[in-house]
Amino acid sequence: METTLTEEELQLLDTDDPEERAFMEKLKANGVRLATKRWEPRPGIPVKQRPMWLAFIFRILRKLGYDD
Amino acid sequence: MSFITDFVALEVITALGKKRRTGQISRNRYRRGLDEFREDFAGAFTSIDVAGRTREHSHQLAEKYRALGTSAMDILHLASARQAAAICHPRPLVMLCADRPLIEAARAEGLGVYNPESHPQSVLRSALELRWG
Repeated sequence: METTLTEEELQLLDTDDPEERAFMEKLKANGVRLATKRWEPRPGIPVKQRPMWLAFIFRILRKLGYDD
Repeated sequence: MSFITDFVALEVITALGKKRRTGQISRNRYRRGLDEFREDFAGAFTSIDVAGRTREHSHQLAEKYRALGTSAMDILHLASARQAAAICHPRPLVMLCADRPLIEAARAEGLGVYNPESHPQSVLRSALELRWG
């Protein structure tokens, strides 16, 4: 199947669902730069000790399912 | 999928700078925070370029919500979220923010809103499910 997605983007997408792929291609066609890696928490630094804004972002990501 | 714009990144960097300037964080923590954020910004977020029409839309929103006292940057975030929602349609988009004027303006614009500082996680789930019908 032809796609405009790069290997990195496909690797992150990690699904054969054509609807998911079509959605990612739609985003890309609209000028959206797709993430190419999953966010990973840094070991050894408790979230509560991070500066406020970073803690805010990390909390968002955790809420979205990127758990430690 | 988490969307971000250059302007959110700019706000994070300046917020970190303010915390360093006011002595709330050490130099090391400041540098580490910047490095980690830059690394994440480059590869772990889905990044939207703020379109010209979005910037124009932000001017209209600034007039519309003048009574709320929403900051210039927050108005730009709101316009960007509207742009992202249009791209994602019909998939749901929930704007994450913790600033009360921005939350009120976003709700008035019909966006789903989630405040991670005060809302339980169930609110985010509900917002996504309700908007995915």
